Amino acid sequence: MTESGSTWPADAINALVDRYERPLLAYAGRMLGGDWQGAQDAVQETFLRLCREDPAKIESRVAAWLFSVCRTRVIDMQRTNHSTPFDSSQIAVADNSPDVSESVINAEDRDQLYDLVEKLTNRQQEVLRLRLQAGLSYREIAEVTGLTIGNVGFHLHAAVRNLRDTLAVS
Amino acid sequence: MSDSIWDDPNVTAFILGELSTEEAEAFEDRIREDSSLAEVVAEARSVTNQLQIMYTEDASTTLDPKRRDAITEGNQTNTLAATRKVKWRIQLTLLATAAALLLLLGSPYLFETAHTVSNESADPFSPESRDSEGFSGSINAVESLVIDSSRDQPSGAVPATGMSHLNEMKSIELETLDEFGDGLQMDGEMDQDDVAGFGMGATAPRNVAQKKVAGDAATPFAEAPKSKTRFEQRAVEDVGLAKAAGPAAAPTAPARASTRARRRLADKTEIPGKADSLLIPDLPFIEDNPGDQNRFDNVTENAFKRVSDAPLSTFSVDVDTASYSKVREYLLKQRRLPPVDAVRTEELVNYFNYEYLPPKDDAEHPFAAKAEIIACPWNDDHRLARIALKGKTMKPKNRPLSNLVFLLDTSGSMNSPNKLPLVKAGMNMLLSQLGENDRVAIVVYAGSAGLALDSTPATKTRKIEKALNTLAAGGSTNGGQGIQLAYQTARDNFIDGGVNRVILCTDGDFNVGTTGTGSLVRMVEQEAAGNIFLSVLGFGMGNHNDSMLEQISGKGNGNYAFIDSQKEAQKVLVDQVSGTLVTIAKDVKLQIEFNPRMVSAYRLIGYENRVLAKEDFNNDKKDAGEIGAGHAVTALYELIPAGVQRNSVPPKVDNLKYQSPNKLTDAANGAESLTLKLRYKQPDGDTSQLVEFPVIDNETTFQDADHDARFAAAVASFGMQLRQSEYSGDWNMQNVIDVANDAKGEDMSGLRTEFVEMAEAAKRMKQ
Repeated sequence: MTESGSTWPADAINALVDRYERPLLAYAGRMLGGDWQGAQDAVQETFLRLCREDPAKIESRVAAWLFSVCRTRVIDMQRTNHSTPFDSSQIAVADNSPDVSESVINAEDRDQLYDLVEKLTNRQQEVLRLRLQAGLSYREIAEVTGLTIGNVGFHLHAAVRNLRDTLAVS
Repeated sequence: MSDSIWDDPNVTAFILGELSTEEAEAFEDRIREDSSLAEVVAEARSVTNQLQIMYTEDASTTLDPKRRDAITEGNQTNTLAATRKVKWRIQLTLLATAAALLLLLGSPYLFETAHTVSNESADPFSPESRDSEGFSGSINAVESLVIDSSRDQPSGAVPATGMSHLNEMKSIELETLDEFGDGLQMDGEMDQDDVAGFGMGATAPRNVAQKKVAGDAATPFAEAPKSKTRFEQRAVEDVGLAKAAGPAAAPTAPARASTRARRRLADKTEIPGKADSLLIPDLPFIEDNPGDQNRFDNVTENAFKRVSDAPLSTFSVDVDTASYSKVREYLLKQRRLPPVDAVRTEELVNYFNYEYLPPKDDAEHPFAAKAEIIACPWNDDHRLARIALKGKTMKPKNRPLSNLVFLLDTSGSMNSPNKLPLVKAGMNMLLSQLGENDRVAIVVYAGSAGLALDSTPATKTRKIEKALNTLAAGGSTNGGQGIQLAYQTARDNFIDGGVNRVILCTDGDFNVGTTGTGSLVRMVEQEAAGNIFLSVLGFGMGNHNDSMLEQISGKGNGNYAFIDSQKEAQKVLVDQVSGTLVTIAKDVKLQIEFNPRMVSAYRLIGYENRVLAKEDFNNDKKDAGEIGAGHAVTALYELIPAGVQRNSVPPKVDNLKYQSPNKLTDAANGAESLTLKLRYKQPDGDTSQLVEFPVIDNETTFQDADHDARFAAAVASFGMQLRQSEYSGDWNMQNVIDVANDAKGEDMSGLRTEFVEMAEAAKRMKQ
């Protein structure tokens, strides 16, 4: 094995971090119930582990790999650290959110939708996030969560259906 | 409104672009033709769009700069470490390859040796069975020989442990296993490979694959290429094996015998090295020792059922524990695996005391019922529903007066120390629990029946002692007259509103002469209707008509326990005496209705001979099991949630032509997974009462479940593995041991620790 095949060139790592840090952070943050510091820890560790992996092995499925690892890490963290109260003052990160006026849906609708999503089962929320935020395919989501592909489709659809039901009523 | 359309996950899959080109095109066609589908798709699209926007905006935070730097540095330091690791991986790859090759190449050699062994053991069995002996002997002897001959393997890679090597490898090098993956996976292709000298290759991976049945462990990240599900896979294997088994003469590789034969054979051939204790496959008797004439009913395990075909599951409770004692006897005393049909999984689970709360004194019903759903530990995709009933407890002073007649088998076979002497000890223990207003009588049957002790107040210990001491074993068994006399005695001393019970203590074949089991059962039923109940205590292993005893105790509204030791006598006749004597609810039936929206298939674990037709639930004339004071009953269902494994349980019947599939009601929309219904009668009543409540799955993981739930699951898995169940998932005995140890709780009785011993013994014997 040559050296170049077994490590990541620096710019590759940077590119991957750029591309996946936000969805990973959002994913980890939600799974940790709003613990954004914890999310930062988890995602950092995820990327550090990425550096130790042989690129040739996972190049074709980096996204799924990243979310798998992050998920495992988050679950471990949840085990050892049962209640991490959400403290918004701890968010000391730069806020790169788009300008409010650029929002395509208005704030009220967004909040309402958010509340409704929170009411879905954990499974459904996770699958939604992995698909719509991380952009993983059904197959990748199946890898990450350990569900079958059929199951992934089922949960996604169930989430959409439930949301549509409640939105239709309100 | 278009509910069935909204049930189709393809709607969302289509919108998200997850359908293949053909599927998507077909779907588009459908949209064009069906306007209600178009509407549904439009609504779903709107929802997903909104969600997409929401999520994109939500993902706005980035890693803070310090962490960013840490990552870049981390990457640089890893460069050096990586090169070393790569070399290590090459070595492991080579090692694993060598191991697998040696395994495959070494197998013909192993078969030759094994075959010689089995042929030399001149068994007086028919010539045909000799061939199958060859198979069974070889299979088993091979497994044992592998362990021995493996020491000679030059590379140092031991095939038997080579397998575990491969298991470890899996976690290190997924890609490496891909190379072996095709060779080692259990699938239809194996059929061709089977016949040639690759039997060992076939057998060994079975162990590997058995441990990881959920999905393909060797290639977890590859899409499952086989559209066949696990259950269908097995059908294919069996068919393939049947073909291979036909022409196979002894020198060619022994294909695996058919599942059923192998079950029987494996019962006997699990003892490593003992290739000469073989038997004829497919007979209901397990005749390894001539003296071992135990008869167990052949039980076919409950299969998974589709909720759409069979939304109701109905069965009768069972508090018998005899199976557990028997299994314990086989494992710990006789040091061998129990015959598969001796294992009634529900009796194993019910043997233990769980911390179920009994009902309050003023509760409406004489028992408390609850249910919960947790993760299924032996199958990641499945859930486990646990139903728990607890009868109200009874303080001794509150116990109704007892009128007991002991019906003792004193035939010659009762002579051994684990029989008549134990009966006497047990009776003494029971007597110590009774008071002056309780009465006991002893009727014996052997040769002729006789009243050894007329009904006497329980406190007249000297008189009773004397009668007990004059009991001596002798003569042959003729139970028919004895039981009539026993019931008569009980009738003569009947206590209104009290406990009137015949307690049959026997070691075996309750020979009723020429009249047969049928009339015996009818008599028991009649007397039970007249409020004289029957319990059965089994002793000794020799001549046990287990199925008949279970039957009559069921009809007699009593329970059936097997007393194999003083300790067990203590448990049944002292600790649980109220349960043994006092029935607090009779004809207790359960009926579960599953919600097809939440559950697609289910499997009742155990209770095979307690299953009732759904119409029997409301039919009070149908007999069912009893709950004694303080008794607990646990029932487990393995559930396949909706959406998992689309066709894991394929429909057995074509779609109807004149009717369309079931419409779901509003109730199906909630979060309920199932509704539990219970019917029971008061001990002296004739009409049943109904208890009903829904159960919601709170997505509890296995680790978070309480220790009783985890322990019960471990015992259930233990039972399934002893039965060599095809449903035991990816657990092995070690999992059982680990979980049981962890979930023991205080275990004041030491019974749970003893269970762990049994599991360890079983593990050793299965190797």
